[in-house]
Amino acid sequence: MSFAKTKHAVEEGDTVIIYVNPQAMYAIQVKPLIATKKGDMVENIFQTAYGALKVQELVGKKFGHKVQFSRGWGYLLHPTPELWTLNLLHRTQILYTPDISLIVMQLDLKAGSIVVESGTGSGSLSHAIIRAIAPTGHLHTFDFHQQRVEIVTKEFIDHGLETFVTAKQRDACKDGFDLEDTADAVFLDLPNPWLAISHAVKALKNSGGRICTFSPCIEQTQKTCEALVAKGFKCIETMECLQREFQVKNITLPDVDDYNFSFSQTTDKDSEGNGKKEGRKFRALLPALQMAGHTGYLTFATWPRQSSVQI
Amino acid sequence: MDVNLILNDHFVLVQRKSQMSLHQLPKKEGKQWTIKVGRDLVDLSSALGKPHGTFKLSRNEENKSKAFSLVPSNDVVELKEKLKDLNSGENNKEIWDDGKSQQLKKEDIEELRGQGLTGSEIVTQLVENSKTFQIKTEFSQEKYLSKKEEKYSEWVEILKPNIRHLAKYFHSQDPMQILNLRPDTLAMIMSLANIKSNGKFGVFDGGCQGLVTAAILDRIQGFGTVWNLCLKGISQKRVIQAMNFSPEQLKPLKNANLHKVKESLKKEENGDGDEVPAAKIIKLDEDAPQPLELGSLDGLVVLCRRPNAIAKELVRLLAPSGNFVIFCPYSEPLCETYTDFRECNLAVNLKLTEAWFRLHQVLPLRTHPEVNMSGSGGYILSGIKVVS
Repeated sequence: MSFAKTKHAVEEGDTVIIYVNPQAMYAIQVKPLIATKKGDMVENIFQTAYGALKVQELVGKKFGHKVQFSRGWGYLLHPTPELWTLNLLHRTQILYTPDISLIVMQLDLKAGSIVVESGTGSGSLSHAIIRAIAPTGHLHTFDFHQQRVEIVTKEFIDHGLETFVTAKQRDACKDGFDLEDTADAVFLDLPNPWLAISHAVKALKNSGGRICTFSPCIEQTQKTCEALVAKGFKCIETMECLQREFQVKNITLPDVDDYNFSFSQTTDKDSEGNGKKEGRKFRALLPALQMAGHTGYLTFATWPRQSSVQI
Repeated sequence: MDVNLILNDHFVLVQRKSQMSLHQLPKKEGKQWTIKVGRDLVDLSSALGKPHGTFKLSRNEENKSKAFSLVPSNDVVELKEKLKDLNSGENNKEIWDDGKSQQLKKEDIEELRGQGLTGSEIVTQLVENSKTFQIKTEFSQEKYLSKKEEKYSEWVEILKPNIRHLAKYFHSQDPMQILNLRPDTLAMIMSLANIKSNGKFGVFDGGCQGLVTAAILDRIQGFGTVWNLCLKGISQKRVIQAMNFSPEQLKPLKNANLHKVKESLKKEENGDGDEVPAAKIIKLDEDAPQPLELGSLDGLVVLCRRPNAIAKELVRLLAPSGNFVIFCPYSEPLCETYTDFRECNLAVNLKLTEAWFRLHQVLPLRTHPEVNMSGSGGYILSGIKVVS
């Protein structure tokens, strides 16, 4: 429930984020009982590295405050699409926040926008789209995999978002979206997006709209751009974005004697910071040694207002 | 009043190929407004009352004005289509760039302009007077014609300003005017601050012309509150004006002078706030603006060159589990802020990041990343406020 509305305290049924550290965060639905693998219902106890947490005891607890485990503590955080993206159960490869934020902005999404998405995948982007278009917009999302549609539908209901989204099973490339003159924006994350371009055009409003395709491979991007040009899309742009993360560390340089040398005759012994530890300390901004180097190419284009539309 | 029409007093973006400029139409109806598009004079007011879209630069035979007037058009002709039947070569083996391929001089071209030749006609003349055009490869010819269209295209787009266009426009004009806030970094800020309808957000804009405030107002379309937090009287608002927001879209925007907020919070603390005059009690109804209080915001965005002391203070306005984003064009001040927040246990999920962004040229047999790219788009420190 807590995705749709900002709450100060937990209510039963809410999905919450338990934060231990940046690498240890968990999305939990607050219910008294949970099903085991065998299907038996048992008391909902969540295990962390710092001990157990009785999930039902979270009801009434305040977001942003500490939560106790049997051998330590963590923080109870309000869910956001960003936290959901980092903690959801992957059924497919998902999109992460840098691509998601660029997609939402470049598609001109705002409250009231009608959006078509295919494929839904694990619903990572879907949550961010719903946040942008609520309360007056709607997301029509499609995936050709029946189980994925069922899982994501349940998630939307659990998260209190079902009024803003319709999830359907459909093969977009073959059967289209069954929508006409409806969407402000269409997003395609498919192996062959060029096969869905005509269907996208049909779904888009005749007064104009935006399209985005996400493709890991350049060949897919090339084929898609050719299809977009042929169909009459304008302002076709292909881009990619990544995020570089930094650590902030206090660094102490080694003793200057290791590097004490000069070509001149006299060695300068009175140089600043010579031997003093304080002079060798500085605060460094360290980029991560490894970073994500590629996710996919994002292609955006504008479907212009059709001449049939009178203003 | 249909906002899809070009109206008096409204802002529009005028685009010819890749060149864009922002203009405001005159407030007074009937007043002529001439702008420069490249080296051409264009009567922008001739587009008034028409829907945004593609316009052709036309010479008005009756009106002997030097300025082109704008006529709605759907028949854009690309020069590469018009001139595709010309010969082309295999490679550049015989081509030597000595600057003498073009036989028309600058003065000759000016004369052609003066004679009233259209852009397409001038380019055709340039092609005919080029010694090397017909031995260039087809790709090279296309590139040459594209380049000429930047200057001579007869069509312009008159666009309704939106955040995507304005963010790119302001950043390309003069990045430091908006603290080098690149559009993809702006997109990240919108996500990391959890911008959504029916939320309460605060923005401290230390020099971004109101770009982030405008982006939030555009996203929430009247649902929610955006506090414009300021210390001095001067408000950053150029982008907000350029968006042509309606009164409904501007409703969420509230100005909060932080010194005054501090005073009213002190009064409440000292119990002075309890003595509300009878007249004021009657006025308080559901529509009365809620005052800004500590711990009340869902999201906070701070944009400035020196976030150090101010960011920590402004985070006090955030509710627990609220999201904040601090943007700075330089990384060093953010290192200080990061360390400060860490030591005071103010937040979790603290991340200091930089966005990397590149455009690609995708054309048949000519696909490659663009030759130029942005080297930097500012730095972000994001996190979630907690109560320790």
